[in-house]
Amino acid sequence: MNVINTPLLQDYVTAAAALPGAGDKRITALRADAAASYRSVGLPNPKIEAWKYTRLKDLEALPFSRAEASALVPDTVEGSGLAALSARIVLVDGRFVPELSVLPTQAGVSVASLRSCLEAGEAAVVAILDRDVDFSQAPLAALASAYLDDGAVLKVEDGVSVSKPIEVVAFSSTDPATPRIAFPRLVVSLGKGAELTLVESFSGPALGVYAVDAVTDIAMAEGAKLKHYVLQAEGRDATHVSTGRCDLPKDARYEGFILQLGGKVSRHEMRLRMLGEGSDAKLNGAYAAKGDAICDTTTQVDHIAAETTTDQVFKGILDGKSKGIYQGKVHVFRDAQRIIGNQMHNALLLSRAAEVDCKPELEIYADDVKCSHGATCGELSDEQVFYLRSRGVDAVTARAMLLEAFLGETFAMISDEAVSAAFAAKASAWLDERERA
Amino acid sequence: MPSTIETVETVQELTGAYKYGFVTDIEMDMAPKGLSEDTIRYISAQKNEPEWLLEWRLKALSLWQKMEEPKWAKVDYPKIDYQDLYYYAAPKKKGDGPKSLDEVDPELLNTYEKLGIPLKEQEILAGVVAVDAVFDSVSVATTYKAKLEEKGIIFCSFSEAVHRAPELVKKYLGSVVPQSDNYFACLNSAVFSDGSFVYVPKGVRCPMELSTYFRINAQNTGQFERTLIIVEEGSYVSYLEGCTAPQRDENQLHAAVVELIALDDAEIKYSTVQNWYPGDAEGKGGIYNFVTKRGACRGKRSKISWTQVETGSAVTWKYPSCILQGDDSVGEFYSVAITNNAQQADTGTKMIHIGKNTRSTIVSKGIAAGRSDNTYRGLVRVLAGAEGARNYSQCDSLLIGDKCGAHTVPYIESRTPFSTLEHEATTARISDDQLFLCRQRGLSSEEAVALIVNGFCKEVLQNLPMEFAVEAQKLVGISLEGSVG
Amino acid sequence: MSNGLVIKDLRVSIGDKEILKGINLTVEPGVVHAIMGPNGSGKSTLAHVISGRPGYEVTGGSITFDGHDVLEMEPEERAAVGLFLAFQYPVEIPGVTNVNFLKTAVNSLRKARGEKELDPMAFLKLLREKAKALELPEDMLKRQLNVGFSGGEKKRNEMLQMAVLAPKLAILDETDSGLDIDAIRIVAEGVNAQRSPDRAFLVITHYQRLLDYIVPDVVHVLAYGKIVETGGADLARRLEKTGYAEYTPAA
Repeated sequence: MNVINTPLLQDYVTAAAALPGAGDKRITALRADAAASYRSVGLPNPKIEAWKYTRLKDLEALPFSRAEASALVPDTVEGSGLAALSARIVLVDGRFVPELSVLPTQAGVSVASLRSCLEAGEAAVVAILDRDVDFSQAPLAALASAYLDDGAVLKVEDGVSVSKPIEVVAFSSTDPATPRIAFPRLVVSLGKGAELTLVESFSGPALGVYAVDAVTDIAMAEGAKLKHYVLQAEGRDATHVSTGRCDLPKDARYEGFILQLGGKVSRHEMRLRMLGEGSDAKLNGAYAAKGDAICDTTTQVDHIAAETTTDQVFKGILDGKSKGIYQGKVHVFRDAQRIIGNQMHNALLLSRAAEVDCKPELEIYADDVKCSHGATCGELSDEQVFYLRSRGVDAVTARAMLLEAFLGETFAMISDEAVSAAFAAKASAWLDERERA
Repeated sequence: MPSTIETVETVQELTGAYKYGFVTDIEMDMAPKGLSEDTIRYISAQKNEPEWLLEWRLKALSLWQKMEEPKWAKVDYPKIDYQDLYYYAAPKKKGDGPKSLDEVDPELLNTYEKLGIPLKEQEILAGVVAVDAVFDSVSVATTYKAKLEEKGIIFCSFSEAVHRAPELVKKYLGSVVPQSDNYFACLNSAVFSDGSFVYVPKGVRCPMELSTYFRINAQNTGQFERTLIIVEEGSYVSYLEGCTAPQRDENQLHAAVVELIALDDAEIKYSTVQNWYPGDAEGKGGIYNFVTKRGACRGKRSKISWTQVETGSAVTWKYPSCILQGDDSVGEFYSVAITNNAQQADTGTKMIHIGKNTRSTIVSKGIAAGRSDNTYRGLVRVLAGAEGARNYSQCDSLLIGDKCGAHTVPYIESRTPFSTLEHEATTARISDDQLFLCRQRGLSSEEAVALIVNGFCKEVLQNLPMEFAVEAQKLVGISLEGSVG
Repeated sequence: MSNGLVIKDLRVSIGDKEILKGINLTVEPGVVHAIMGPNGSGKSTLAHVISGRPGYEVTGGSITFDGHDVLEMEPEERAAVGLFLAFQYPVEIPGVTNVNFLKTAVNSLRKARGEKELDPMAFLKLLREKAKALELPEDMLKRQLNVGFSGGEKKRNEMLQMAVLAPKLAILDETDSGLDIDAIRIVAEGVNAQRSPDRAFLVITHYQRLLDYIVPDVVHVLAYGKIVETGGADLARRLEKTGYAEYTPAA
């Protein structure tokens, strides 16, 4: 088999022996399975259907090595810019940094380092990590799991409603001497009826090569409610891959948003598994790319239980020679009746050299379902530009207004007003910067 | 009992009613079993082909031997033993072969009679359709040749075209579907037996529908026909094909290639009613229908329109496509795919926009019943120079019963901002309310299902030539007998 | 110079097809002109070309407004000198609220005219006042521009924009199309309230009924790319009876 590999797993046996929980059979088996899966598949390539459109060229070309604990921890790390938070957890190069973090004070809400949980062999955490994952379509998630090491574990007990958002900032550093890859990992567990607003921010130095291979595992108990907002604002030269997974039991509610604005090659993948009747998920997002950036948003929704509903809206703006990718799969399992699953993707191309690839997919094995998807791509509407200009607005302002409105429609779907405003501001800054360029 | 369940049961009871499952008992010339250079030399010799064509076939064989069978489609079938097939089967010729329809073996004429395709000219739909009848590997009769020749139109079997219009064949064969295009097209390039050839000269509107009727009869025999249609500047042709096969317990392979070429202002309308034997209710037998159909809109303002009604075959793998090279050219794909029992269909189209202001429309209606799987897979690709390109795609699925699957896999790739692409897909089922309404008004559940499904497919069926639309509507009803939910 | 709109021998094509075949028209300040004509006569084309909508090729002639060479101007420059088009099919712009849109437009115009931008409070006051006069509910101002508006709401929203932007010449492109009689009355009242000695109107319509409510000073018949007849308000009433049959296509 023609597997593209990197030096990443070369010293794996030695490295694995030094990882936390190396004496724990479940943890070592998990790592070994992941390593074997990565070895058999290698880096993403077009033969993997889920990676049809995105190549991780830097990872293919450069000798990346695993980011060691960073000696140079920055004084501050940038996140979403939200002021009112219940807690702020900072990971630098995948490692939990208590000095930079603000821990929650509310009863029933706890944060721990993943490393400590693995060392203690915490059964609840291992169980979440050990949920069946199909690594064959997710080689980077396999690689991250092979190196399962540090990160953060966030727990909200039954019935606890976390008052303000908790933000997890995953900051990565760059090393001019050698390209490095970090594996930030987040484990979230919500008890019965618990409520949480979680903001995940990814950032790093504006310039300089680095790679992030993040995995987020979320487990919810019955009736839990999660708002899960992701801001990907990596540096210009970064390779960013993150794989999220959330299982929804009976009556669970999930509202997700993925905003991608940074990175040279970025791929954010979110998988929702609707396991319990009455669970509902909304997963929306926006992205903007310029230069020669590649920005990939991939979602998979598995309707396994009956009477589950999902709704997805994604929008993207592509300028320069950038390429945008949206892949969304809605899979309705046999006997999962009375399903509603909708998907929409709209892309605007602002330049002749930009490109968009879109693959919304339905796989349906039950008949009493209402599923739909829609996709459009094109340029800004001439009609709309003319309408604004006929009222006196100049062409540049008219186009800027329309672009902001285009993305703005998605931010309006973020029910947390502070996050909605913060994300809109990030997108607005991106548009301003584009205009000045 | 809810009306849907009742309907599912009604449909199940009715299955197995494939009308065309009979076998014609006729003496055949067969190539030796298996695939080798010798097989190809045999086929080529049988057809008295020129050396270049033999070389072309042999090159395809050597390419094919290095290729792997594609696995990406959502179809599942046991491994095909390509050495356990016959690649050529022809009714034994009596003397030099028939000079006219009067000399065609009456057994063959009877066969087509039974299929509802009379080959005696005076009986054929009052002179509006000319028919080329392909029986296993060879064309047995072509009607109205003389009348078409008056206008300079060539409509004959592919084998005949190789001798009658060698320059055209040499120029265009493989120019739309190259030998190495895909596994099944490559296999076809090596072993293709017969098929239809159409050439419409400049400025001619073909006065009648051209039609080919394909019939697989022999056992353990693959059918590998090749169709080539060339329409010159400002000309028009409407072509349609129908397919049936006997009911047998073994699976049979059908790997066809169709190439269409439309020059400036030319229009080709290509309609298919595919009703190969689908296998029995348990999924035993049936045709593997692995077909490559592609049209090149080479000329400015040219138009290629595919309409297909796919109701047969055990497994279908088919993506009639348009390469929109000429500026302002138009591609269309209208499809109804019905799967019932254990059938599997993975079908759709590719619209490749290369020229400026090219337009394409895709309307796909997938109906899944029984335990079948029905997949729409389509690609819309707009290349960087294709400014002003537009595509509209609509893919609707209807599920009948809760044991089937309906899937939609569109790939939408745009490399120019000056294009507008819109894709919509929905899934639905026949609701109890709809059924109840129909039945309350006096329809049987079977009639109700046929009515509702025909309504669901209307946009596609109305694109068929009138003579066939009625037939197709009936077929939609019959295919679903015993399967709705 | 305030000599209004002057169109001389205007010729316009779409692709290879000539739509306007030499239009001569003068609309003086404060005067209400109506242009009537059969479908496909070029009425909307004229409105679009005056306001600068892309997609038309002007092959000859001139348009000036108060001395400005209109054909050389961008659409927003035309708006700044006081030209306003009420669209036959007002465009929906999701994500842009009515308020934000109008504020941007008002301030763009003021900036272009060298005036100070309105502060948000002053703007809102103006907007509310105009909305009230047109009986527009306040929540309509907060909604996305024309998104989900009924046909009548869209046309009233055009009238609101006209009231707020206060143009010197308002072109109403088949504003009555798709409206019931009550909606037509509301629109017409909006227009009549804004008639003044320094505001001219060019009312384009297929039917006479709009002109029952907006009584024009001058009526032109546009047929097959040319103005074939000009008269007073009574010409419109005559056309209601006879239709456009008498105007056959020019050879």
